[in-house]
Amino acid sequence: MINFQIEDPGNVGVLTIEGDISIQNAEELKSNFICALHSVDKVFVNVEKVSDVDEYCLELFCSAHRTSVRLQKTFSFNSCISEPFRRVIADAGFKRHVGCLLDVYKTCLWADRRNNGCRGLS
Amino acid sequence: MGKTVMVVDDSASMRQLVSFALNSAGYDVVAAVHGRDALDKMNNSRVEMVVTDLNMPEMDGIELIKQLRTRPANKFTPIVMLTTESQETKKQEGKQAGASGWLVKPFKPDELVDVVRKFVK
Amino acid sequence: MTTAGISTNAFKEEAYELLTELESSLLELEERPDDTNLIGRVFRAMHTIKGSGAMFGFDNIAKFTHEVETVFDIVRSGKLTVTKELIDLTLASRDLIRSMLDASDNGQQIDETRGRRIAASLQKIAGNGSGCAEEISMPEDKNQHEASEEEDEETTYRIRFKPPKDIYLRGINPLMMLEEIRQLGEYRIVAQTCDIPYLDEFEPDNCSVFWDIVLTTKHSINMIKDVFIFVADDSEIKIDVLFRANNFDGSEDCKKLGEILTERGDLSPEDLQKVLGEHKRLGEKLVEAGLVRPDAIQSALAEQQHINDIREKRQAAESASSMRVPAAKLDTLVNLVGELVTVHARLNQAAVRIQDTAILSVAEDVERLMWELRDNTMSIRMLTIGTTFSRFKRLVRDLSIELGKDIELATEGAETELDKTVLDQLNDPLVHLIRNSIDHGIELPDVREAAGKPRKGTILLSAVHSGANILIQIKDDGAGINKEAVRAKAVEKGLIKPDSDLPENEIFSLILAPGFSTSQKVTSVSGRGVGMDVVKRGIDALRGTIDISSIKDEGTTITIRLPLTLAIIDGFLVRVSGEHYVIPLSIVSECMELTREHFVRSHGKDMVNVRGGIVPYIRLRKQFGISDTDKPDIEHLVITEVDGSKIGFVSDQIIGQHQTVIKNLGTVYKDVDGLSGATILGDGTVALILDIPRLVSQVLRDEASVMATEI
Repeated sequence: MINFQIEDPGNVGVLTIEGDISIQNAEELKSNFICALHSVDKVFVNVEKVSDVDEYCLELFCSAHRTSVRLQKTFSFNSCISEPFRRVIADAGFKRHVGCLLDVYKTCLWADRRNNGCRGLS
Repeated sequence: MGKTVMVVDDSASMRQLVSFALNSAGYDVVAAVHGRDALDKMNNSRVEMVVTDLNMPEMDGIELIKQLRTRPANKFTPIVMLTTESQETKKQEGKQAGASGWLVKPFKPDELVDVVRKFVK
Repeated sequence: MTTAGISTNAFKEEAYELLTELESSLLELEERPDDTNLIGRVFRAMHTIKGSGAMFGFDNIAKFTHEVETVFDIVRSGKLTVTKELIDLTLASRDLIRSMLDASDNGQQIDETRGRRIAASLQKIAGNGSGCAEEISMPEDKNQHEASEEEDEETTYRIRFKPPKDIYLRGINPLMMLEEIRQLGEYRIVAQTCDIPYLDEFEPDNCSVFWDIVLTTKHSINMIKDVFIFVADDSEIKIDVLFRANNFDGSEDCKKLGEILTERGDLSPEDLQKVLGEHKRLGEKLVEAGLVRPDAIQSALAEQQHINDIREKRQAAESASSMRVPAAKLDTLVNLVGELVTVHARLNQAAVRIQDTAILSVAEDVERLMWELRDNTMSIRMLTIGTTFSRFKRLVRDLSIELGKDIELATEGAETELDKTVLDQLNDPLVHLIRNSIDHGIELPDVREAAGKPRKGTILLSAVHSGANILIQIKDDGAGINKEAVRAKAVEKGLIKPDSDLPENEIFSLILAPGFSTSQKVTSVSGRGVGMDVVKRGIDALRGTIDISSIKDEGTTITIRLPLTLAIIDGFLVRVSGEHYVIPLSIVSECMELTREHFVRSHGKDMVNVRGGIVPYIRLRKQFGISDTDKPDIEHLVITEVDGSKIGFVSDQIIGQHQTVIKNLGTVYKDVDGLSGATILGDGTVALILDIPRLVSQVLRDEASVMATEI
């Protein structure tokens, strides 16, 4: 289930993703990402209740984050990353110390983060 | 509950052998006798993977793969072809159509299970 | 095995059917030689017999049928027309296959020359037809290389896997492949995400990632290749051997980041030289100069790390899996960690006072490291309880012989770990409890037999973790504790009043009271009056609790609950006048304000009504002789709960949670009741750690005496 809710028009929106997300329903995920990044400046994604995710969707998340950087917007998790999600990040080799070249604001979704409670990956 | 694998082969003995091997490895098996039969049965059962013979009456394996790939539900379903043709052409044709893998007859039941395990747990 | 569980009859039945069908198809085909449908049917029949035949082990049939199938494949493609000669030959082939099937039943020999003759004729027709009939070889035995799949030699590979973009559309999940790799050995996987496009350029269903994998495995390179077998033609797959176990001479171990990157082709040697001149970490420099993607650095670092891990493991395996260290060194280590915790508290206080974010962030880093260091140090001090357990086997054996009893000691959870200090101090109480079980618990064999029990008694000693505690149980299947005898004895010793109504577990707890012993006679084992209070004191000293339960004629279970470690606890810091006190956080249940009003309402007694329940409290001022001159109007009550009873402690101010490094009080303080130790605070002052169980029992005693005088 994917649900996008605008909290503060033009400014903040929360994208809540629950259940299994995979290439099978990735189009919906993608259009939600596009819609969210067009409607607000700060997109927060809640993945607390994601029960499964595949590598393809990780690519989509990556892409959405890149796009947000290009648009000078924010795209980040605002929840704990669910255990299955966390596992796929590790298994797919996405976990890393620093973000990619595009990650100028150091907001990479997969990078190690310290001192932010459950949001970090390590 | 085991994952369901559909076995498509016009040879009854082959269906029996493949079903037995997969059942023993903990998979549920749905059998179909040719491509058309497979497509029909696909409509009312959830199938996680397809193992199909190539040479079959009504609808052959290659056509079955092509048809499955046009269906949204089976766009990403793993499909392994069973083939006696060890030639490159058939393999390439199947791959073009969207086959995930292949297994050349004769094979041991264990080899089949190993291949299926590559796609569904 | 080709036919596990399925008899070859399945194949034979099918083959007979197909042959019958083949016969009629061939006869029809003779009349309508251009009917592609019929040609297809004939081909498929042959195809199935060949394929299934091979599967069921009918190799001769498969081999022969192959010849016929080949010819009909050519006919099918339109390069050869159906002739009477072909029909004749095929019918003859059909008959031969049939007799081969029959022969397999009754074991008779088949005339091989007949087969060879037919095959030769068929080959001739096929040759005439196309001139270039494809040589279709029967698939050879694929098992040949399987024997060498498992190599003993551990090899480390560097794998770069770039799947075809359409991998998902072929029903292949790259995660499954990575999973297969993971199962081969030790690995590090780094996804290279540099090619992932922006959302508006994102092509549906495409995979834009490739992977760098470092794998150390005993399996052969063929096993790795097998993982990628179905995408091998369309993927970029590079598998390099980094090193093998037996020529691991250490020269590979310190490969520089730059070397790895150039080896992988992620960086040119010239660029490397250019950048090396600057004084910075290579990775940062390369990324800054735009020469290498961060992903590639990440991946190269992963390889470096992987190799270091493998090397360390190997070296560790070569030397020894463990080392002996004098226990005193560990004690010193714990003390030092304790000091560090204290110093850190000071650092934190200073940072907060100065409000310097830079220092605050350093303090946070120090804190993180400190907790890691603490956990690590504590884990070093952990020992399994097994050694202690095994010591008791001998004890049980010797004692039971002496007493003429037949007793077996069973143990569970010998692998349970706990702090060395705890373990050392646990020995005496356990010896006492086990002796008690042997002496008072388990009956003589004849008595047991008369009671319908096995002659052999059992004492089960078990240890299990439960949260931050460890539970140790001594369970015997003896006579159980005689509740009435305990009661009578307690009354006789003046421990309880004759009419007091105590719950069962409290009656059993009486045997832990000083001077209590129910044994009728004195044996060398127990009954000398130095009763179970020794045990109680020992466990108290470890901040543990004892619970006794017993069923008459069925046995007794004594459960000891202990904290895992002693050296550092979570404390709750309070202040009274200028002094600080620590209450173990684990027993704090709530806090409340205490005003004059409360005092008035309780008629000057040290008790307070909390939600309908009466909670007695101790004034720390009074307890430790601090004058009331600077007593604030509103005091703070910290309510603790020990063994189900609530007791409050009155302080001036509640400061909050505090990591408490426990220091022993010097001998000077040995006789001060109610203190179990001290700790040093961030500002260097000393805080005293309250011995809550001691204080509680003191209150309960006072309460009882007050009640007695009132009566």
